[in-house]
This record gives sequence, structure tokens and C-alpha cells, in this order.
Amino acid sequence: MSAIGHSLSASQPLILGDPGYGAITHDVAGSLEGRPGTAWWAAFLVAASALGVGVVAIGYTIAVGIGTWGLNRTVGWGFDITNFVFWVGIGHAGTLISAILLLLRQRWRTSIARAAEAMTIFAVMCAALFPFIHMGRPWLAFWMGPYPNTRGSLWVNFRSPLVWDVFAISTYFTVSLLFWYLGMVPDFGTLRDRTRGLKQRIYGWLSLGWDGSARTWQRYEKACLLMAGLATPLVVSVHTIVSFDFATSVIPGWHTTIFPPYFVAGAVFSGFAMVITLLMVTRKVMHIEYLITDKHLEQMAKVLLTTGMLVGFAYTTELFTAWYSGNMYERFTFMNRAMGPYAWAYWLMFCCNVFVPQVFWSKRLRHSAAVLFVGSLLVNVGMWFERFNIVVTSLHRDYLPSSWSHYVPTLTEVGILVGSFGLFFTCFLLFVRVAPVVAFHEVKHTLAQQREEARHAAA
Amino acid sequence: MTRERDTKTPWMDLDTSLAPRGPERSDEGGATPAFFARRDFLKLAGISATALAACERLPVRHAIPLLVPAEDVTPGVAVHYAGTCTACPAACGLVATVRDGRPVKLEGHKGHALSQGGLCAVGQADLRALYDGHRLQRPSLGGKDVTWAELDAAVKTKLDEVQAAGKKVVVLSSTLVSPSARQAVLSFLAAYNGTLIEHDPGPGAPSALREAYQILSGRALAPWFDASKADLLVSLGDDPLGTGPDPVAFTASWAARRRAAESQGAPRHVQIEGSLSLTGANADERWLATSAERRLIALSLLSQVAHRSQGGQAVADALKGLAPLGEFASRVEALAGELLKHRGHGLVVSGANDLGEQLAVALLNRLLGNEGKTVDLTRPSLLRRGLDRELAGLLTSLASGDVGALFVLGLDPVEQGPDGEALKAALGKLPLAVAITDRPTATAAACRVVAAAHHGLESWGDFEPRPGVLTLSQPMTRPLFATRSAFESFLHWSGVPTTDYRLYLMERWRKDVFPGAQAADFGALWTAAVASGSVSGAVAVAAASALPSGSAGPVTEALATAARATPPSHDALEAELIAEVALRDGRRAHIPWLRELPDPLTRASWVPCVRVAPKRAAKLGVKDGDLITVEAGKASVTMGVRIMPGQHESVLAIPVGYGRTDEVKLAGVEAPPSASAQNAYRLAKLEGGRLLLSGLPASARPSGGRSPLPLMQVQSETAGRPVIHQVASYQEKVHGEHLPEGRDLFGPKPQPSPQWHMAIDLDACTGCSACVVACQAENNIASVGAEEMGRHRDMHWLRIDRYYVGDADNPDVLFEPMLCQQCGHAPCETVCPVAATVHSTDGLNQQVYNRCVGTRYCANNCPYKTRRFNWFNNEKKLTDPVERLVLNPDVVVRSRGVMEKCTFCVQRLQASRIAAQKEGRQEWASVETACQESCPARAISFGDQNQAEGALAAQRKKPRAFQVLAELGVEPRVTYLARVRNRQGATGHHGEEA
Repeated sequence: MSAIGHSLSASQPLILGDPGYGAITHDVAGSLEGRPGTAWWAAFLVAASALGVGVVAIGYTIAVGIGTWGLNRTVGWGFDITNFVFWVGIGHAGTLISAILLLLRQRWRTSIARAAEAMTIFAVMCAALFPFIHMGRPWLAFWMGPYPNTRGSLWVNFRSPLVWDVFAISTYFTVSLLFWYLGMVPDFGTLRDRTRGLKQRIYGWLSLGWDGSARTWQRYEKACLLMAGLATPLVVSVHTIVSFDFATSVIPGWHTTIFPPYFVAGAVFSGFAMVITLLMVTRKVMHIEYLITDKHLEQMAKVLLTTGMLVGFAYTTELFTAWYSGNMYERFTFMNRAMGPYAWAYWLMFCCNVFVPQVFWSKRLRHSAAVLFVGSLLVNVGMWFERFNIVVTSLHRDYLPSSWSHYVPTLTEVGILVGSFGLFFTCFLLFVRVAPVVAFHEVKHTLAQQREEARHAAA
Repeated sequence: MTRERDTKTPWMDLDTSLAPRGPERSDEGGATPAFFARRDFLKLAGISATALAACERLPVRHAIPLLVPAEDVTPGVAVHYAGTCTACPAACGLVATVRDGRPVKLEGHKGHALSQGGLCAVGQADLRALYDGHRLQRPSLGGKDVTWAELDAAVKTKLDEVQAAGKKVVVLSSTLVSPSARQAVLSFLAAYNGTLIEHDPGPGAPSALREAYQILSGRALAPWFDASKADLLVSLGDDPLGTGPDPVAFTASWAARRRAAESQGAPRHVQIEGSLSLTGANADERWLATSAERRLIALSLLSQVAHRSQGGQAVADALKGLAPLGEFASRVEALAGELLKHRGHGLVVSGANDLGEQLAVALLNRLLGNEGKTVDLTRPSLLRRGLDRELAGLLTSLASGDVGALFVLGLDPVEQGPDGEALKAALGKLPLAVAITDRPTATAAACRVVAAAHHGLESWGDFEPRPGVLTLSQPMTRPLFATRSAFESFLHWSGVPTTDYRLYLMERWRKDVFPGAQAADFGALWTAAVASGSVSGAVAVAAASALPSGSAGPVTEALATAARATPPSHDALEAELIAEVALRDGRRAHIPWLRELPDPLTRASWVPCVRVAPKRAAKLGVKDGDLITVEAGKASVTMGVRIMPGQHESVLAIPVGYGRTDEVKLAGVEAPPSASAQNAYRLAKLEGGRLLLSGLPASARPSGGRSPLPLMQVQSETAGRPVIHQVASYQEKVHGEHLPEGRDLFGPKPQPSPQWHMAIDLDACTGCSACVVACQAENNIASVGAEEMGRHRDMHWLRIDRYYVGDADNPDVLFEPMLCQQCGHAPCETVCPVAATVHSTDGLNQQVYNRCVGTRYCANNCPYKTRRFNWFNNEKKLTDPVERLVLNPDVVVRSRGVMEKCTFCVQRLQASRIAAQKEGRQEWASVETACQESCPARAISFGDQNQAEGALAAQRKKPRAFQVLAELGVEPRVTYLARVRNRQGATGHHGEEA
């Protein structure tokens, strides 16, 4: 990551022009104060409809049974766990940007950190949905938690990666949520001062009595650093543990030691792609291109290129290991991925995740909004299919040829996938209406530094 | 009285079983009082379970608390009663587990002379037929419900009219294996000067077999084949293991010979057939031949054997003009040599309804000296007695109007024959047409009088499948509906004084079976016979006299005629009507357990399919599931295609039994889309007094559209994986992958006895699937319907995997029963988040249903894919209270969202443990799992793996032993023994070793 930091030169400002502190506050906070525009309403309508589809599909599933999905005796997980891993992956970028980049003192993170963190929270919420609804009896989901009970006392099975998941994801979600909230406290203070009536009371309550004194600022910054330190290992641990769901099993294609780093790299990859997609839309709609500049996007494109190559390395390593192991089941699984009935999904994944990011070697293309936008979308498509490949193609043809089968999702499952996107975007759209989408106190800090540097340069 | 039955089994041992039963033993004064007491308690006990169903129409007369409780009924404790299976005429021995007055499980009777403890899939499923909500529940006249008195009066009036008009009275029945029933029917017919015509639809033991022996030995009989003494079995298009008249008994003897291979040498089994049958799948060598080629092969074998046998000259001369054998010449010569080498130890059988071929086969057995050894004519099979020409005669006289009254007993000839419409019309015109059946069949719909019959488990009966084997059946429950025993109906109509069939039965036994017994003795003898289900061998059998050898004239004449028959044309397409293991002739096609049972060969369930050879399918341009119309003569059927390696290119095999019009009333489960277009009986041809089911000239064309087949297995090859093995000899070692002992990271675990282990001998296993249905019945496994099966959501805890090995056109077929392997290091156990699947101290991998939240992680992580998930609330589909009676109260019914799997019948293990602890015994001495108990081939051994002696240990020590996927280190608790293909002296092509 530090390589990216070095590439930053002072001649490329992180904030274009010098809008002035007031303008930044006005642009970011002001958008919360007026009425939402047509674009927001249109987007919200689409997102809420998608969420509605998801609610109906989930309701149908819970009322009737998992049989409404396309799963069978051989393929016990399909869209459900694919979506779960996909959303957990998306949920990686936010904390990576706000925690690891904070610790590495990457100043370019300030403009995008807030939105990325929000994205993390919503993505983890989407992800957490799936372990619940994929259960045959979701009303008993509380059995997954270790709590004192009158059944003996009957505990969870601490050997099960699913239990580890429960811990990993709930911890990650809690820390991310706190970190996100902590980052917003000074901005809530500003909003409290700018609003009146009920809004002011709410923002006042949320700002925890922020007074902007030097001592408050000092404690605040310390707390942020501490939280960043706490969140950093979680960035790595969550997807490592999610990968254990597969790595600790006996199924060829799942039982792979490469999975933890492979999953983390993939998660960062998909998370950054989603941040790019979201921010490109957000900055356009909110007219804050001077805050979220092409330079920010370029940095993220470089992350995509790097992690894309990591992922590509993992794919080829898997193939090599399968061949080198001499294990017929392992070999078959990878032959089957590349040439079996789901080969199209494999090659779609390969193209989107390995070949598409290669365009970001070119600076011109990194700066092209269209290329960046389409590229980031394709990466997310590719990453969704990566999880599909891992979950479904490993399962559908495992050890005994007699039980080989095929998996085709039903409309209900597609509805739930659509619904998870609906949930994500609904939350995000509500977020941009109630909280500052850019951490303007941090941006102003960056602007101050930028002015300082400019003065030094002029002198 | 407890679940396990290693103690003095009450139905098998007279002295010990009857000693504690006060009333039955002490009442020696008369013949019947003991029995009335017994009947009463059955009636009383039945109330608790059956009142639900019965109270709707029948006043509950005995719903009072038992002042004196019946002695051998304890609520909640199972009682076992011996009986005889009535699901098909084979009359296998049966033991019913009865709980609180209702049978909940049927098992084979180990003391039965023929079935020896096995019970086939159809027999197991007969329990489900008892609790079929669509059974006929009361008699009806012209569609209106009536009382039995009204029905009897109407029948008698009509009978008198018919007699007055001088028309014939005919009873059309499947073979009456019961001597008392036969006597009842015959005495009824004697009163009206009528005739009995026996007919059994479907292939197997055809009419020509009996006609051949009529020519050869003067009596139309089917010999009893004893495969246990056959070192060389040659079967021409016959399927005695799968769908013959007595598959359980034949499998028992066939497997007995294979199990004895270590001491008596490896047996050989050569199958010559056009369509892959279960028997063919188990053969050491398989030739593909059309029906005409098979006849030619039979005649050529006879010719070659006759040349080299004493006294065979006349036969050899008659066969001089035989057509050349073509590609079979060298193989036939070698096979003839093998047969001669195994003189007296061989057995040749044929399934053709062709007089020439059957004569040739009978003469082969005679010339080879097999008669009296593997072919028993003195105590023949009594399971099939009908002659097709009698049926043809009946149809003719029905058409001409000579028949005035027709009683159809059990059969459904409207659906199970070539020209159902004509028969239906004829039945409608008859002055008196009576259907005596328990189902609303098409025949019942065509008959004005419908005498709703008891299910076999509700009625008394006796059975004589073979002279000297006499068994009884007793009611296992009070009749569920206002039905009546079929034979009691005949007693009513014939006007004899005894109309109670039970008394009639006893009367006949007093006269015929125990003729010398005093009244007092008879009571005891009868009671003992009922308790044990059969009479011991001491009972005198009318010894069949030595049969005259056939006079040369008609025999050689028939042979010469056959030899002159048109030489086979190899390329002409022919249709062959086959029976499937689950449906047989189709009379139990409405039972969801059987419909859902995947055929062991096609692996399709619910939906019928035409079996087409790969090359023929390519020529027709069809794939699995494409609809195809097969025309033979004027009739046609339309079904989905199933491409079957091992099918002769010119033969299209079409299963009978599907396409019944009452099929929509499938109990509890949605029926597959079916049409009368699937009734393959329509293709049969009544020609020259014989009902031809094979060799029917046919044409086929894709009819467009698809009927997706619910295939349980789409991959038929092992893909080079060492998951199943076949070897060339019984001494050969299987080179499976094994993990060295002691790789456990945590050191050896304590292994207190018992540590349950199962061994499955794939060499004995025929794939008959009895175990699959037994498991379903024992463990309350849901039937999910065609659609769900098509989605690969079968619920079977035990399935039979079928693999093809070798030649793509004629592969070796391997069956591998696959169930939870109860892994010592179970991958499922570590991944369950809520600890719903855990290990027991006796080595079981337990599934705790009410703890399961349904993440399905365990199923994903199961290398054997034996775990089954409840995708829906399957149990709620059983809405009819009658149908719910089939549930085994010892096993939890699972709700939706819960994983389930084989438990090695843990309820039996626990019951045996409790009983053993009470008695201070070793619990592993006796317990048997449901699959093991049902297996006609005794292929399954089960017990404690810590025991160094015993059947299980012996099996595990054999060189053929291997474990599936043991290299994963999961420590499976199931050992398989590789299949042996004896190619020694192989005469033709053979596939590669697996």
C-alpha cells in the first residue's frame, strides 16, 4: 500500500482548486438540508422496489421452505452462500480504507473513507442476512450463538467454521459500526450547528456533545487511531474465517490452504470495485468532483490492478496445485471448473477478475470515467462468479459420481439476490440523506495540509 | 414381545412361544375358542389405531376399556405375527410388526422354506397399500354404495338368471396360490358349472414354459428352479432375480451359491438377452441377442448338446435344418461345451413365451441331467398356472356372448391387456360382471358389481407356492373399511353353510392338512401353524408321481417346427415389454414407495421410460427424456427415452405397469403426468393362443417434446475413481487405497463394544432394492413425488448406486448400496454449528433432528452424499388419517428444514440394548438393521467390529474387502466386498476389469 502513497506527488492536489472550508461544509452538509432531488427519488424508488422483491422472496422462502430454491441433495449451498461471501467481500474496502490507510497515513483516503465505511456497514448487513435465511429453520437461528440455556446447557459446536463466522462477522460489524460512527461525531457536531428543531436535537444527540475544543480533538484523534488499530486485524480475519468455511471441509475445490490470503485479496478487490462504482455515482450526483477527484479514483484503480493480479495468481496457483497434487479428485474438480457445465461461469470470472483490470496499466484508461465505471462493475460481476464457482462447481460433482447433480437457481433465489442489492442501495441512499457522505472535517484537514504544502512550494 | 427377536421367537418355536400364552395353550377342549380370544384382542387392540378411519361409517362396537387386557398386547410394545405376503403370488414368508393393533413394518420370515427371510421391495411396500387412502372402502352396485347383503342378493339373483339362460360363469383370477381359496372358488364354480381361468399379466414364467412341459412331461407345470445347486446358470431373456414369479426365493438360492463360492468354486452365470435386466446386470457374462436370435441360440445349444449326449439323437435329427448362427457360432459352441462340462450342475432358463425355445430349454435341462437336481419337476412351482390359450378362449367367448357372468378376482385385465377397450365394452354388456379388488381399477369401473376386498394383511389365507410348502396368513389388523375377504364373497355366493372364510380355512386344514388329527390335536396343531406361519415339513405332501418322459413324436415335431421358423433378422426393430423391479406387473403401481423407488438399472423413478441402446438413440436422434412413440401392430405408447448401455440395438424395452387410469389417485403424493399413452400392455399381442410380450415388430419415432425423467443418477461411470471394484476371482485382493492405522492426531479413541459396523457383499447384492423400501418403511422416509425427484431431492437414506464398467455397448453393471458410512472421523460432525450431529460411544454418527437448524453444511461436507434435507414439510402431505397409520412410532417424523440420514436403525439398536441389558446378554448378538433384514441375498452383515469371530468379522477379513473413500481418513464403518466376475471359460466378449 505504501507504494501507492509514494506515487502521490504534491503537484497533484487531492482537492481541486481551493473551494474554501465553508464551501466544503456547504456542499456536503447542505445536501442533507434541502429536499432530495429527482435523481435521488428515482434511485430510491428502484432500490426500494428491489428491496421489496427481496422481502417477498425471503418471506416466501421462510413460509414454504428452502425447497423454493434450486438446491438439491448434492448442492446444498447455491446463491445463498455465494451472496453471503460476495457481500462480506464488498464489506472489506471500507474498513481497509479507513483503518489500514489511516495507519499508513494515506491522505487520499479522507475523501472516500466515509462512503466506503458506510458501504461496509451495509454490505455486512446484506451478508449477515444470508446465514439466517439459508437455514432450514431460521426461527432457531439464535441457537448459533453461545448463550446460557436450559437445554443442558447445550453449547454451540466450537469446531464449526460457521460458529467462527458468527463471531468474526459480528465482531467485524460491531467494530466497523463504531468506527464509522466515531468518524462522524465531529461532522454531526457541524450538522447540529447548522440545523434547527428536531433535526438539531437528533444531530446533537448523535454528536455526543461535540464542542470542537482542542482537547476534544486530541482525544478524538487518539480514539480514531486506537479504533483503527483494533479494526486492522479484523480486515484480515473476517475473510480468512469466511474462507475457513470452505478450507476446513473435505470437498475437493474447497479443501485448499491457499484460501485465506486468496479470499482476503479477493475481498479487497471486490470492495474497491464497489467503492469506485458507488463514488463515481455519488460525486456526480452531489457535484463534489473537486473532493472526490480523478486522482482518488486512479488510486483505487491501482488497488484494483494489484489485487486483481493477486487474485489471478491465486487462480493459477490453484490450478497448479491441483495438477501437482496428483489427487484425481482435486484434478477433476479444476478440470470440471474450466471445462465442465459451469465453465462459462469460470471463464467469466477469469476474464472479469484477471483480464479486465489489466486495462488499468494505462494511465489514460485509469482516468477514463467510462472505463473505470464499467471495469469496476465487471470486477464485481467476476467476483460474484468467483464465489459461485467455489460454492457450486465444487459441490455439484464431488467424490462419488453417482451423486453428481446440477444446480439451477429459482426465481426466488434471484429475487433474494436482487433484494440484497435493494437493501444495500436503499441503505446507502438513506445514508446520503441523513449523514455526511464525505468526512468533511477530515477533508478540511487535508485541505489545510494542502495549503501548507502549497505555501511551502511557493516559498 | 419386545422389538428384538433373538429370544425364543414366538412364531417359530411352538413350545416356548405358546407356553406363556395362557388362553391359547390351555383351551384344548375345542378347535376354536383359543382363536376367538385371540381374534378379539386383535380387534380390540386395533380400535385405538383404526377407529379414526372406521368411525366415519362403522359404529365402534368395542371402544370400552379392556377389563382383562389381552395378554400379549402391551400398549407401545411391538408384537410380531407370522404371515404370508400377498403382494404378489410368490407368497413369501412374512413377519409383521404390530403396534397397538396396527402393522407398522413387514419383514421376511426367516423360517420360510423358500424366501428364507428376504422380502422384496413390493412386499415391503404392501404395508403402504394397506393404508392406502384410495382403497375401495365398501361394496358398490352400479356405482352406488350398498351393504354386503344387498350385493350378495343381487349377485345371486343374477347368477340364477345366467344359469337359467345357459350361459357360462367364469372366474378370471391371477394364479390362486392358496389351496383353500382355490377350493372355495372351484366349489363356487361347481355350483354354477363355471370355469376358472388363471392369468398373470406381465413377463416372467410365461405360458409357453408350462406348455413345453405339457408336451414333454404330460403336465402343464412350471418346474422349480434351484439356483443354489447351479454351477452354471444360463438364462435366455429371463429375469428371475428381478421380476420373475418368485424373485426373493430365486435370489436367495442364487446368492447362496455365490456365497458358497469359496468352498465350492466360483459359479458362472451367462445371460443372453436383448434388454438389460436385473439378472443380466448380475451375470458374469452377457450376450446381446434379439428374441429370434435367442430362440436360435437355444435350439443350437440343444442341437450341440444333443449331439454329444446319450439319447439325444432324435432331438439332434429334428434340429438338422437350423439356420446358421452367424456371430454367435463360436460362443454357442463354447457355451455348449461348458454346459456339458457342468452336467447335472447347470441350469438353463428362458423367459420367452415361445414354445420352441421353452422346449429347447426343457430338453437341454433334461439331456444335461439337470432334472432332479437344479430343475425339480416332482415339486414344481405353483406360482403360475394359467395358460394363455385359456385367456384367449375367454376373450373369444366374451366377444361371442357365451359368457353370462364374469368374476374378475384381483386382476385388472382392462388395463393389463392388449385390447382393454373391447374388454371394457364386453364387461359392460355382461349380465353379471363382478370385480373383486381393493382398488378402483379400470376393471372395477367397468363392472357393475364391485366387491371391495380386504387387503392381504386383513384377511386369513393359506398358500402353497410349491408342494410341501404350506403357509398361513392371519389378519394383522381389524379391517380398516367395510370390505370383505375375496374368498368369503365366493363362499357367500356359492351358498355353502360356512360363510366365514376363517372357519372354512380351518375346516379344509382339518380335512386335508391334518387328516389324522383328533379334534383336540387339531386345535393345538392349528394354533401352532398360525403362530409359526407355516406347517413343518412333517406334513404329508401328496408326492408327485414320476413324470413320463415325453413321447418323441410331438416333441421332435414341435422342435422341427421351431427350427424351420424364420431366421432372425438382426436389424428389424422389436419391442420387448419388460417388468421393472418396483412395479412388476403394475398392480401396486399406486404405491408411492414403489413409484419413488429409482429403478436399479435406469435409475429413473415415477416416470416410465423406453430403454434405447446408445446407437439406436443416435439413429433416432433422441436424448434422455425425449418423447418417443413406439408402435407395434395397431397400438402405440409414448414415453420418454432412457439411453441404456447394455441394450440390444434393435430392441426397445418398454416397462409395463404404468399408465393406469386410477394412477391419479396416488396416495398422498402428486402423481406424475401420465396418460394412457404409457400403458405398455397395449402393445402385447395375443397370437396363436399366446400373449406375446417380446419380439414384437415395432417402429419408433421421436414424437417431439420432452418428458424430463426424474433420474437419481446422471453419471453412470466411475470416471476412473476407485469407489467400486470388481475382481476376477474370490481370492483376488482389491487394491483400494488404505490409510495406515494410527494417523489420529489425538491418539486412539476408546472403542467400547459394540462398535457397529456393516459389511455389504457386492457379489451377492443383486440391486433388487428391497433394502431401499425396507429403509423407507422402517424410518418413516417421506415420498416426495416426481417433480422433487427430478430436482434430485430424493429422501432415501439408502440408495443403490449403479455404475457401468467396460464396453460402452455391453458394460458390466455394478451395484453399490450407499448409505451413511457412520464415519469414525465424520466430516459432517465437525462442521455443524449447533452440534446437531454428534458421535456416539458405539461408533454411530448420530443426527439430532430437533437440534438441527438446517445449514446443510454437513451434507455439503459428506463425501458420500448420503445426507438428506427436508426441503419442504413432507410429512404434512400425509393428510389422510388412514395413510398416517403407516408411520413407524419408533422413529421421529422429521419436519421441514431438518437434515436426516441413515442411523443404522438406531431405534433397533437401542431396543436391543435395553432388552439385552435386562437379560444380561450381549446386544450385538441379535440385532439386525431393516435393510439387512429385508435382503433376499443376505448380502448385508452387521454387528460389532470388535468381535473377532462371526459373520461380520469373516466378511471383513476377505481379500475382496474394501472401503469407499477410506483414503480420506474418515474411517468409514461400512465395508464392501468386491463383485466377482467369473470369466473363466468365458466364451465371448467381456469388459475391462474395474
